[in-house]
Amino acid sequence: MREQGTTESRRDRWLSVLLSILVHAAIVGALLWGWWTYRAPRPAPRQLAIEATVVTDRIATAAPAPAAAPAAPPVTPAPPVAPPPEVAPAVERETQAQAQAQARREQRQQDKEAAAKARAAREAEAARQAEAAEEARKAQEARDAEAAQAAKAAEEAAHKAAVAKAALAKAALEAARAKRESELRNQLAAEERINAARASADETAWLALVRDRVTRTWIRPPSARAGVDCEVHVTQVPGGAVTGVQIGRCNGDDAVRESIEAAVYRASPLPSPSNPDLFDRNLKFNFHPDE
Amino acid sequence: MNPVPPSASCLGRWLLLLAGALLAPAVLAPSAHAELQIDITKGVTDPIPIAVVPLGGAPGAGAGFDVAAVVQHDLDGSGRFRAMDRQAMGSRPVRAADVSAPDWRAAGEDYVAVGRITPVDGTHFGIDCDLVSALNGQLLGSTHVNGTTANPRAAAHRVSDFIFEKVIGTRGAFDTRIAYVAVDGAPPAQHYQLIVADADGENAQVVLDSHQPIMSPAWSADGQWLAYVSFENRVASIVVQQLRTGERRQVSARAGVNGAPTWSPDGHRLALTLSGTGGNLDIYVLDLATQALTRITDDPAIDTEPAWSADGSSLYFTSDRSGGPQIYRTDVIAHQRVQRITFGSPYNARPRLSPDGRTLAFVSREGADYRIAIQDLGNGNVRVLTRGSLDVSPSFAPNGMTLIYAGSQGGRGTLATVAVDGQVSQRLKSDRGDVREPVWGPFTGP
Repeated sequence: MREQGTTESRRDRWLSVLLSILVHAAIVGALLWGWWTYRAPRPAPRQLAIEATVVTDRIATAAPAPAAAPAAPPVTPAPPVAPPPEVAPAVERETQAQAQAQARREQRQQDKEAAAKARAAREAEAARQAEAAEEARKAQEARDAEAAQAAKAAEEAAHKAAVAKAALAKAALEAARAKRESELRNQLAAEERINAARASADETAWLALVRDRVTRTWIRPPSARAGVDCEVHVTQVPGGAVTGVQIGRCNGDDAVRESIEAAVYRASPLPSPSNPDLFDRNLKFNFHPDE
Repeated sequence: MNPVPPSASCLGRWLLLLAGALLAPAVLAPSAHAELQIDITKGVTDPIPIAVVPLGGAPGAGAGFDVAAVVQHDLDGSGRFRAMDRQAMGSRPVRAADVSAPDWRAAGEDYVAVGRITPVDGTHFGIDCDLVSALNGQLLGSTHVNGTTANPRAAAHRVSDFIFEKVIGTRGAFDTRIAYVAVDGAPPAQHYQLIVADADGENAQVVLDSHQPIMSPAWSADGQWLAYVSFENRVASIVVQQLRTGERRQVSARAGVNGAPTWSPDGHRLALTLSGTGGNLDIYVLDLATQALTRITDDPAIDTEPAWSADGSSLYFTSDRSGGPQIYRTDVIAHQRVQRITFGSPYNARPRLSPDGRTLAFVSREGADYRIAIQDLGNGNVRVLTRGSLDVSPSFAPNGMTLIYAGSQGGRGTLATVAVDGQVSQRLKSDRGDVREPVWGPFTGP
């Protein structure tokens, strides 16, 4: 009982340890994944795997870390270096050159702005995706935690049940033992009292009364001769009323048996002992006529 | 929690259980073996109280014959039962299932016999009888007997036999017959009758009517024949007569005394007393088929009243060879050896053997009185059973439990029975004057 309970709880404990390891491994995994994701702005591996190539391309062109991106605009304010308009032909050429330069600058500026826009879009997208991944991770974490919580609760419940069961079994065992002990004690005490009483003349006197009574009620059939020997087990209740007559070993014929059974019933109620401690529910009579 | 107590309590528990296992037999065994034991070595022969409830059945069944009254009379007369007065019966069940054992027990009865009578046709009926123990409510047994309206008593006697055997353990002898001699009138105009009746004295039939003395009737082993001494030709002769047909054969009419015939257990021979011309009485055995006569005793004293042992190997007889009459025994084959059986009283005569061969009944004189006594052939113990002044002619019932004998009352012979344990003596009713020499017939049924 107890051994089984121990086995069960041990098994449960192993199960819970395993579950706990799994849960922890999941958490550690998630953390690692998160760390990895933030360290190198890779998208969450699962969902974004298809765009991985694109991301790899972009990383190659936009080498600077996202943290460097805000530093770029200070580079662009170069345009303020524009020449004065008073120098005509040269100025014209210069103007044209300047215009071209201006155009190139503008073009560069536009390119830069477009790149910045794209980069911002990409960053926003990455951030959004990271956020989604984080949400997914958190949800997963919550689910895992929930599962772990449930597993733990189940384990606790099982443990509690096992403990309660063991306690119950123990209590039953205790009660049985206590009962047995008490019975033994009572029996011993009764036996002592009876032995003490039997040592007295009370029992002899009582048994003589019973014998005389049954002798008077035994109407012997002709076949109840010397040599006949029959034992009969008699059950009585306090007060001496005979409740059962069982012929045991007996070499007499049917009439002898019938006469013996009738004799005991006729004798009912049997005399009671003066000392109630002497009363015995079971009596054995030996019918063996001496003539 | 507490690391020590669990192991300690565990160990303690095991020790306790072990101690319990070791102690239990020691504690229980004495009460099992010390089941109080009481020795019963004596008992009584009191009559057993029984209620024989009047039978149920269609009115007029069995020609209105009161079966229960006959059964009650039978059982009462056996000395083994004391039948309840039917007026005192609180109920009259006719089936075992309707018997309320506690009520009968409270009324002091140990057994209750109930039954039904059912007509079969105009002259036949059936009786069903259940015997219930009022002591424990159990059915001891049931029986069915067939009867005829011509002789309904026979069926009632068979019911008595059933009850007797169930309770006493010995076959009842109610459905048997007796034979005896009745004498009417005063000399010289006397009138003799040989009568056969039911064992209770009822249903008497005259089988021989004579103005000459009839003496010493004896039953054949099969109950079909009677042998007796007749003086019908003014001299003694031994006659055998078949009861059913009335056929008579004179088997011995020798000179002198032809007396005291008794049938051998095998039915082939008669033991008898002959005097021959010399006048000295001796015992002979006559083979009925061959008429061969074998002399058994040859003594100058009177040897008479032979009786067969149960196995037919020896004869008991009365002889005065030692002075007064005493009973002797001799072998039928090697009859030279004669052994005296009775002592004590100066007069012991007319021996009869019990059916089991263990007991001898005879007439024994006590002072001036002649009484019926029995002697245990095993240990020689003698017990006088009757208290009359002239009790003679004992004859055992076929179940060996009762003796019938001739007593005397007011100078007239009467018939009486006595249980072999001496508890009960019963006088049989007879309206036929002076009756004498009763002999109990054998069992007739299976």
